[in-house]
Amino acid sequence: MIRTNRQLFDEVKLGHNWAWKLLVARYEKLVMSVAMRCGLSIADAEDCAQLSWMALYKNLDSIRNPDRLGGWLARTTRRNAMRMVKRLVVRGEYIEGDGAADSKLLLSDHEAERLEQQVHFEYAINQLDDRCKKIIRELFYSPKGDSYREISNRLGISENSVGPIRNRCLEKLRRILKECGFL
Amino acid sequence: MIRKVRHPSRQRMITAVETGVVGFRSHLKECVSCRVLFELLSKFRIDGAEELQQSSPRLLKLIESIPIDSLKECHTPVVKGYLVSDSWDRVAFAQVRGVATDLTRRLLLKAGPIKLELAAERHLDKWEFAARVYDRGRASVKFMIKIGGHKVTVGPSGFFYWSSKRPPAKVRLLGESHTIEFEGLSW
Repeated sequence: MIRTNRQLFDEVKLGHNWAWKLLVARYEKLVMSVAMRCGLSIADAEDCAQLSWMALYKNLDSIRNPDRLGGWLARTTRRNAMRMVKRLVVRGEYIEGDGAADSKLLLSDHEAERLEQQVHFEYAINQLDDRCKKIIRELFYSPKGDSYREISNRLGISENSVGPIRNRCLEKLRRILKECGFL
Repeated sequence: MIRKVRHPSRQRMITAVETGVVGFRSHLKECVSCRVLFELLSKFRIDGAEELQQSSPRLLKLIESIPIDSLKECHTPVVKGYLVSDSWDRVAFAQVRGVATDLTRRLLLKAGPIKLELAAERHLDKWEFAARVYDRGRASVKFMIKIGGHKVTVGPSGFFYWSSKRPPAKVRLLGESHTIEFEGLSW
């Protein structure tokens, strides 16, 4: 059963660990990716991520719109990461993170939003069966051509089946995104 | 003769999203699959996205060990519930002109495993209510209902009964460890 953020949030507030684990599974990559892209090393990003999750735990009652939890976590993590970077720079301990391609210490709102979308999208893909996962990844991520013949060759299915399978998988993906409240 | 359909490529769709110039609108009208793909590509701008960074198992273990179950004891958290179904939303089969619409209303509200069934009946000068609380599908008597400043305790039958001049915009369920709020009820 797929639950929206709001439903998981209510369960967490009732003290249910399983709901917390599901929320963590949904957003752990977002938190780590934001921390890394703010220029932290892996070790520092992990400390930063821990701070963000603790902040969520402490602020459960004050979050008014759980549907926008991804945005809240991204902003909180960015704030924590920037504080950490400043502190590390002052102490002369700053090591440029593996995730910071050009040592920019800012992650724009737009980039954070795109990361959130990517996390939601990947979460939904991971709820699909293996065949749909493969075909959806081909459709959205493959750098190669996306003709039915090429897709059928890569996935080992007949060319005539690609169209109907693609339709079914896209519909499933859309339904999951809707059920999660991401669309 | 079978007409071979040419679907727009992903790259063409992405360009259309970026430029706002959609040169295949008529195709989108006919092809559900391309319509869905285009909708998803418009909403989720994931093309060329870098891979996301995964947390290490050690970090995940740490985060998952945050004592969520202690929330039960620490304070009385307020949980927001939501409306699941409303009898007034259902379309009536037929109605006679000039006759008042349904005088009774049945609501099903939910927050996590807790459900509140609320039946309201409109009279000339007041509203009468009957309610029942369920916890994981079983009738529960562990809650008190609060409407405005008025508290209603459960009767021996397991139902809550009360009446008021106006129907409530907010209903609260007071439990030992938490309060559940159902807000924004319109009548």
